[in-house]
Amino acid sequence: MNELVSLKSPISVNFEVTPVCDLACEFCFNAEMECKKLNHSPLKRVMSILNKLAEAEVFEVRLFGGEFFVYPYWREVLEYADKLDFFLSFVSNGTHVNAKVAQELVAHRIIGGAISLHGTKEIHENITQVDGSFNTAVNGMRACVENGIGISVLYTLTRANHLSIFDTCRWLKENGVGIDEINVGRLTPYGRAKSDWEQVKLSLHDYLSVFPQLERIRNELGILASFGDAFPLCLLSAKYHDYVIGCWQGTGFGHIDHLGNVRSCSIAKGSYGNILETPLTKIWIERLAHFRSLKWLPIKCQACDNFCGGGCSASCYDGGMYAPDEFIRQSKGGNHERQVCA
Amino acid sequence: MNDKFVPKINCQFKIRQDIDGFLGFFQGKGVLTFNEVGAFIVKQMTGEKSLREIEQLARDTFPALDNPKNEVLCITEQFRDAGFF
Repeated sequence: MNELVSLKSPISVNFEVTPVCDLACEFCFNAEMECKKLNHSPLKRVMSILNKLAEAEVFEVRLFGGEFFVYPYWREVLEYADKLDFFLSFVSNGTHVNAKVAQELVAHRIIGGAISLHGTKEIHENITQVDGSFNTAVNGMRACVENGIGISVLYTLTRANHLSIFDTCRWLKENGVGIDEINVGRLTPYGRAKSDWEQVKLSLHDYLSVFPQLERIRNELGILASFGDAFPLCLLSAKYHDYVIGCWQGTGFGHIDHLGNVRSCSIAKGSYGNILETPLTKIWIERLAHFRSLKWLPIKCQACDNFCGGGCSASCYDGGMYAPDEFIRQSKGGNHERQVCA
Repeated sequence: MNDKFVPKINCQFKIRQDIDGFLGFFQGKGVLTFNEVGAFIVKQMTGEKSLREIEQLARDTFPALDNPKNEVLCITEQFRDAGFF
């Protein structure tokens, strides 16, 4: 039977320095918190969380939000995290990144980051609900690339944009925005997307239509295009298996929210514990045992030779902290243990 | 491989002891697992010591080690082939 390995702490974490964001993406998994109305975390708490991550010997901290660069003390956080000798990266909407910001990131040894872009200009701004957010995000990418920071574009799939991935990449290529890669991600039933999930969710057919686009982007544009989240490989043609990056949550990857709560996934809600109260190593070793046992997956997934993690554990409506992939559940009639893979 | 070769890993890296062995994080490249001897040898590859010196250090630190030279060479060749130098 498959089983996930236990590490003493994550290798890499997304650290939600602030819950505040200045965009209003229609699918935002944090949007039930009304990102614009929240208060920033006190700097002292942010530093305390970083200290705890250092004590647990986490290697990499990805500065995350909300939107990291709207945090009033982001420079202090950057400097402090660098002093603690983390490998640093960032996940951003890109709208506050300019040449000066990029140079500050480089000065703190950042060599790569991720910026969200969810389509061509009209599509992107319909999603973010902020005029001008496309150009500012693209300018942020340019500033990073021109200063030697490799950029991964994060593209969350929706009904409105899932057929526009190639066009978006072609636009970037034709306009000289030299990204390293694009990773498309699952739309998940958390935050704003949850309330009208039946209307907004993508079908299996929608997802399968993404992969030929990724292939074209690789072949025709020379951009590394991948499916950045987990996807059930048993539902996907073998020729595209290498396009799925998958997910290493709960083993090498973890998420720390702005209060210090530990999750194994940035999207799914809940907490395994708070690192300001309990050492991260204790939380990570002891409280994820059931998740790593994979006993919550269908038997066929547990025993599968081509193990993919059972797809995305945050894709299932009302799945809690983790559940089998929405399409595994559908294709297996809702009774996981009796079902077989395609 | 010439034992005067001075290996220097071409990215920032850190190694930590974990539950079962050692984990190395190599920025921009990925994560590798090691045993204690492997972790020790890789930590020396910072461009200051030759293979011969690293072998001697390994011999001094792990007296029970059967063939330190082979351990050092084996890891060095794997890192060279993976583009770490």
